[in-house]
Order: sequence, then C-alpha cells, then structure tokens
Amino acid sequence: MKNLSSEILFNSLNKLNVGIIIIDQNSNVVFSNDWISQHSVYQQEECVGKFIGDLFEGYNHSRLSDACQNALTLGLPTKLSNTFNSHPLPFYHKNYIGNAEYLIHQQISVKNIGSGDGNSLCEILIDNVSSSYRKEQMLKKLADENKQQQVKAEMANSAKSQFLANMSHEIRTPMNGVLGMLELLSSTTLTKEQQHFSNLAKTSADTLLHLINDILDFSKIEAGKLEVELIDFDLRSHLGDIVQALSIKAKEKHIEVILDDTGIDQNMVVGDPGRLRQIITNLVGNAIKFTHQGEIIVKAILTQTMNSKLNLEVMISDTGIGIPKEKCLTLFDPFTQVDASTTREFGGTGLGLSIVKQLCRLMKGDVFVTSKEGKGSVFNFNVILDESDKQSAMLPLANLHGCKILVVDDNATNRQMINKQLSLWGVAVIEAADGIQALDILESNDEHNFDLIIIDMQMPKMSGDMLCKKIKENPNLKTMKLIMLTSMGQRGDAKYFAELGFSAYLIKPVISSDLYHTMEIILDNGGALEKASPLVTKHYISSLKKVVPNNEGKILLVEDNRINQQVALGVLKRLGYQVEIAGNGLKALEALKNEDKNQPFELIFMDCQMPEMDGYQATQAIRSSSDGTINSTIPIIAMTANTMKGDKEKCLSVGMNDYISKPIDHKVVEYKITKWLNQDLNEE
Amino acid sequence: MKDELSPLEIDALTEIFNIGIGRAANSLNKMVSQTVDLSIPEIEILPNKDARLKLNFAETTEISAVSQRFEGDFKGQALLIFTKESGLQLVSSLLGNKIPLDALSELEQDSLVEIGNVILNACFGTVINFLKSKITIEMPEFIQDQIGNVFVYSSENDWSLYIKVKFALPSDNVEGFISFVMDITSLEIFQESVKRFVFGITHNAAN
Amino acid sequence: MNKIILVVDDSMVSRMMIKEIIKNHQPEAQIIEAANGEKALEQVNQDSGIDIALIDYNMPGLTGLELFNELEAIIDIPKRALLTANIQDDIRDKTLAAGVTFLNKPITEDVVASFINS
Repeated sequence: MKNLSSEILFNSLNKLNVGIIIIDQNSNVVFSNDWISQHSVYQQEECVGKFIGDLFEGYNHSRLSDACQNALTLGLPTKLSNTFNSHPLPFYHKNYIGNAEYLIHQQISVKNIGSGDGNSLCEILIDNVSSSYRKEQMLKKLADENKQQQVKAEMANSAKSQFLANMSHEIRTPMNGVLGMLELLSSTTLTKEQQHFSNLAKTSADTLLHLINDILDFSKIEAGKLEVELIDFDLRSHLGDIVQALSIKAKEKHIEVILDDTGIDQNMVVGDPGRLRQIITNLVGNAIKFTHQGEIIVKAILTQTMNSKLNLEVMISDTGIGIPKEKCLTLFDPFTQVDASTTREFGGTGLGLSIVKQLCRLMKGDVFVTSKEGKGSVFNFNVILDESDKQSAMLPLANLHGCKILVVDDNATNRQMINKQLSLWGVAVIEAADGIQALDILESNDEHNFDLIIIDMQMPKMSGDMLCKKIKENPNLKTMKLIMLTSMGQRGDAKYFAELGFSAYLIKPVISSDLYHTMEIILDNGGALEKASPLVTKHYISSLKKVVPNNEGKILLVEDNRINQQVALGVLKRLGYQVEIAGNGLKALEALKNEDKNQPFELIFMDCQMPEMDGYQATQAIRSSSDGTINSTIPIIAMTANTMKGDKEKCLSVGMNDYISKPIDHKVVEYKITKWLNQDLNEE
Repeated sequence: MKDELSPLEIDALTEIFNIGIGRAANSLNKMVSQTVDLSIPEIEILPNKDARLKLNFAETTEISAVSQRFEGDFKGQALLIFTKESGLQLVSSLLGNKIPLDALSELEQDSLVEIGNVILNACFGTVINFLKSKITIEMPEFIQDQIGNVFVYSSENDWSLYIKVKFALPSDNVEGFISFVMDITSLEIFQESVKRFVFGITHNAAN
Repeated sequence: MNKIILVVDDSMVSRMMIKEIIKNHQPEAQIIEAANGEKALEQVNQDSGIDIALIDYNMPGLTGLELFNELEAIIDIPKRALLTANIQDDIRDKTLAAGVTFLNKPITEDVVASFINS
C-alpha cells in the first residue's frame, strides 16, 4: 500500500469526516484537513507553519498540549473525551462558525506518527460527539427528575401517614370517651326510661364506632398502611367467641347461627385474630341483615398447604334474600352495594365488603360469593395462617370414646353438626327430631343405654323443658343425664334448668370445647359435677380452666386526657384493681419513685401521646433506670389510638410489653392484665 | 527465569511506578477536580497464570479493562483491570456520583478508557524516562469480558509485571490491577534495563 | 561551611539518586539518611545542626509533611523540601504554609542542585 500515490493518500486524509491536524516537534502545524477549515475560522492554507497554540485559543496549558508533548517526546498515545474536558477547542457547527453557542463537543485522539527522517510528528484527531453529549445530558436530566419524583412521593407518603395517624387519634379519643362513659353510665342505678335511653345511645355509639373504624381502615388500606399481626391464638375458641357474639343479634330475628368447626384439627395457630374477627363479623353481620328466617351456617376448615402453612377456609351460608348474579362480582368493590335501595333499607357504608376483600388479600387469601336470589347466599373466604408451636394440650379423647348419646333438636342442620362433632370424638349418636320421637326411642329400647341426652330448648309442639319433665317423670329414665342447649339466655335460666333436672346448660352456638368439657364433667360424675352450682355452664367451665387473676395488684394509669382517665379508671376498678393516675410521663416517673414499697405498682397502662413527656419517652426512662429507685422491669401496656404499620414495633422497641388500641375494650384489658400479671406463673 | 531482580532492583521498580502512579493521580485530579489518591500496595513479577490467581476472581467474574499494546525494546500488553462493579463505581465517583449506575454504561466505556489511558501512559512515561526504553505504544482499547477469557490471549509462557493499585476517592475506595504482560524474552530485556539503571546509580554513588 | 543534609525516602534507589546529586554539587556535605520518619527522628536531636532536609511525601508511617511537623518541634532547619510526584492542592497548600518547598518527582539534577545551592 506504500505504492499508493500520494495524491490518493492526501485526498483520503483531507476528505475524512473527522478533523486532522499534524504538528511537528515545535508544535507547528504541518497539515490540517478540510474538516478543520469547515469547522473553524481558518482556511486550510492559513494553518500550515503556524504554532498551534497561536491558532487555537485554549490549547496552551491544556491537557491537549500535555498530550501532544507526551506524544512527541515519549511516543505516548492519548484519548481525550468530552466528559473530562470542559473547554473544547474553537470548532463550530458548519454555518455557525464563530458562534460560541454552536461549539462542537469534541473527542480528541493524539498519537505519535513518527517520520522517516527521525523527527517526531504528532497527529491530532478531532471527532464531533455533540449528539452523544446531548444523550448524556438527557440521561442526567432524567436521573434528576427521577430523584425529584422520588423525594416528592416520599414526602406525600409521610404526609399521608401523619394525617392518618392524627385522624385516628383525633377521632378515637372522643369516641373512647363517649363509649366509655355510656358503659359507666349503664352500670349505675338508672330508671327504666334512663336505661332505655342509655341503651339506645350505646347502640348508636357502637354503630358510629363501627362506621368510623370502617372508614379509617379503608383509608389505611388505600394508603398501604394496614399491617397484619402474627399472634398465637386458639382458633376454635376464637371462632366460637366471634360466632357467639354475633348470634345475639340473630336471635332477635329468630335466626339460628350454627358453627361447624369440625374441619379444624389444630387449636393453636399464628395469625391476626382481630382481622379474622373483623372479616367474619362483617360477613355474618351481612348475612343476618339480609336474612329474615332460617339459619346461618359458619363452616370452617383448616388444611395444610404445600409450603407448611395453614389454609383456613370459611363458608358462611344463609337463607336470606340472595344477590343477583351480576352483582356478585362487583360486590367487593368499594362504595358499591347491591343497589341504592339497599342502603336506604339496610344502611351501611358499602365499605365493609371491600375491606373484607382487602383483609383477605393481606392475609394471602381471597373472598367470593355465590348466591341464588330468593334462596340465599354463600360467602366463601380463605386466609393463610402459620403453624403455632404452642399447641395447647389436646385433651385425651379416650374419655368419650364409646359413649352413646341421644341428640334431640328440630333443626336438622344442628343435629347433623353435633352428630359430626361427637362422632369425631368417638361417640355414637342417635338423633331425634322432636320430643315425641325422643321419648319413643328412649322407652322402646333398653339396649340404647344412653350416657347423655342433649336437648334443644326451642322446639315446636314439645319444648325442651317439657321433654325434660316427661323424662324425669319416667322412673326408668329419671337418672338420665341431660344437657340443655338453648338459643336464648335469660336471667334465671340456670336455676330453672337446674331445678328441672338438667346437669348442664349451654347457649347456642356451642363451642366444641365447651361441649366437650361439659360432657367430660358429667360423665366423670365426680367432684367437678358436684361443685357445679346450680349446674354446669360455660362460665363454670371457664372458671375451672382459668387461673384466677390476682386482683390485689396496684396499677399505674398514665393518661393526660381527663375523660380517658375516667373511662380507663372505670374499667380497671370494675375489674377490681387499685388504680393510681399520673397525668404525663414525668408524673409517672415520680409516682414510681415514690411508690409505697408495701404495695408497689404491678403494671402500668401508658398512653402514648401526652404532653411534656410522652409514653415512649417515659418507657425509655423507666427501662434505662438503673439506680434501683424505679422498678425498671415493670410490665408496661401502651394505650394508643394509632394502629398503623410500625406502631407496634415502635411501642416494643422502646421497651413496652404490649399494647391495646383505643377505644379500650374491657375484655381486652382484662385479658392483657391477666396475661402480664401472671407472667411468672406462665413461665416454666 | 534466569536472573531474578535483587531487592534493590525491586526497590527501583517500585519507585519508578510509584512516581508514575503519583503523576497519574495528579492528572486525574486536574480532570475531575476531586482529590484522587493512588497508591501501590503490591508489585511483583510472576508467571502470567500466577498473576491470574493473584487476582482472586472467579472465572466468570465480569471485568472492565483498558489495554495498550507496546513493542520495541520489549513487547507485550499493558492492562488496567477492574471488576465491572469497581469500574462503574470509579467512573460514577469521578463524575460526581450524579448519574445512576444503570444509566452509566453508555459513558462508562469512554470514561474508563480515558482514565486507564492516563494511568498507563504515566507508567509508560516513567519507565521510558528512567530506563531509557525505546518502545512504541498503541492507542488504548476497552475490554469487557469474563476474566477467564481475557487471560487466554497470552501464551502459557508469558510473564506479568503485576501491580495492585488502590484508588482513594472522597466517597469510596476502589481497587484495580495493572499487569504488564510480556513474553519471557521481553521480560529479560526489561529486567536488564532495570539492572542497568540501578547499576548506574550505585556505580556513580560509589565514586 | 560543610552542610549537614537530611535525606528521608522509603526508596533506597531514590535516596541513592539524591545522594549522587548532592555529591556532584556539594561533595563536602555530610548526609544523614533514613528510610522512614521514625528512623529519621531517632537520628535527629536539637544539636544535630541540620541545614537542609529533603523528605519524600509518600512514606509508610509518618508522611513527609507530618515528619516536618515533628522535626520543627526538635530543631530548626533553614532549608526544607518535600519531594512528591503527586501535587494535590491541599497538600501543596499545607506545604507552602509550613514554609516548605515543593520538588516534583521524578527529580532532576538541576532542580535539586539549585535548591541545595540557593
């Protein structure tokens, strides 16, 4: 290729689409190509022989001149990018020569190209990289914008959280006052009229609280701030409690609520009992609302999933008015109800079902409904729970195995339910649909030596108590042990049934464990049965199970709001505790320091939001106290109006042991106090 | 390997490259108006496959490298090697940490080449100055590949002047490796020039 | 007349090169040399009467600047120079503030000679 004519070589170099300048050892220009003259103020001939630093401003003392020296003296090649060189040489876009706004962004390469006669030559190659520079700038701009957006979003998010937290607190505090005061009011002596008004007020307040909770929950879910707890709890017992509480309303409409938990073989699970209660209460509440006659069945099944979790499936079927098919899908959208008239007739915000769906989703499950207009509906939901390692001792089944029991109930579903449950325990069951059938079975067959008879109270033609009388009149049968199951609990029932000759009476819907213990006690026929006065009831069973709470302890209540103080005080005093009040964290610390050592504080209920020193700070102060003047390990239970993501962690991280949310529920308070005061007894 | 270098000769080599790296840091400083400190914690001459082991990267580690070939008195290839992450980190740092790493790849190549060029040139420069070597050096190239592939190009008999380089920047520390890979003949000539240089000094000093 | 010159550099070759230059321009000079700051301090006390100090910046242990600071507490040295390849702004400022001269590496005979002779 050395034979190519110099003309060809010259032309190719000249016409290159990049700038070429060749300088000699003194940095004088030996050659510059067309590109250079097209993009600078110079004609080609003007450059040759001139010192490059004179021609191009910015060359002297630049990295370029260093690079040229390196090339000339040491033979080093250099690449100079646009990025690290902010002062380009004066080359411009064509048509804009001399216009500083149209400087080209340049990438420059410098190398030694030697020369035959031993003199060094340096070639400077200039490439126009303006387009990639623009790309670069755009990337930087996008990155900046992105960052700004992020910051904005974070600010909006925390504003949202702050708002929700404030709203929660602002709303719950007076609600706590209203509900608490009504509760205290109703426990004072009132005239009948006053009691009536008080009850109405309570119902309204409950409804209001329910609505508020729905709205707050909905907002939290929307903001992604709702968190699900992980607590060990007794699933069967919990389902029983929920359904029992709901059945009170159903009874007013003469509807049965039946719980079928035979599909649950484990008692203890890990999950969020509060949210589970919320879901079931909502769905059953709806069922009760839209059902006017018949029954509501709550059937629960617990199965293992592939990854060692538990799937809880609950079906709630009713014999209500049903839902049109088209509405079934949109039912769980927020703000929808079946139609406008439903709202007028049945009330509600239309949020309930959408919250149910969100809660199910939060617990990795879902909900759907099937329905037949005029016949009824089935709401079906599932949630994922975890295995609990705190399996409560399952009582041995040997006791009931082989027993024979007669079940008398006009409701076929009920009979089947009890039959199913008893069969699981190894009991042989005979069913009778009414009193006459029962007596027939009892009188006809001596082979049927029943160990127990379970009798429903509300039956047509012959009620349960009448049947009992008939049985007791029969000399062959009068030693039979009888269990009464009634839907309605009224004052005086226990005495009445005891006098009739029943050994036990339970209120429907019956929790399987209660039934089990009742049967156990009766069949054992020992001291437990004797002591049951006037007969075995749910309460009697509870009293046998539970550790008697130590009501002698003194409790320190730390709360600044006077109404809340009264409410909490009322609840604690009703439970039989001695209470001292401190208005803020500082006063609490003083109270602890000055406590009577003969009767020290055993537990603290600490409000979180207080002036001067809030609950978190006070807890930290108590926990870090090491001079022995304060019991730094005293159980502290937080009372908070906020129940959002991170609140629990915040309470626990400062050293609180537990927390309850406002408005405070006396049952929850009792439970928590029992739990924390009996901590020593629970530990092994 | 015929004659290993004596401790004094290693001292000279270290000083030569220290000065080179120092000047490189100086240049980088000017380029980015940021404090850049470079130091050489390790310098060694060993067979190429041992140098490869010293790098302690898994075969599949992605590396970014700048390479400049040279020939003349001695012939071979100079490499400045980073792990892909370190390379990105270095560029990002020097660019003021303003661009997110995933958008950086466009610029990474050009910037890394320029930085590598500055450093390798500085090393070449001091070697030429002190050892009076006559070598011609090629333009820098960018290599991005798995380490296993990069070291395959040279033969089993090649040797490496292996240098570990530490970049201390205000925001973080980055580590890179320089390797001057030469065949055994070139290496011997290189070592000869080092011996001559040291001899010259000691000889003169003795007088 | 005979100057006492302190040379501190972790590179023996570098010390040799400096000594060579000194020998060429001030053959009568007495040279105290050390490979790092610690060893330098061991050899110096208030009576050492050092006239010139040539100290490398980049050394293990005490840097050249730190060594100058330590020496200042012990002895007054009229002519002080810091040798380095890397002239970073903050180091340069500190050096000049301390009244110490800057000498670039690689050192050239002219520059060193003119410094010690000035």
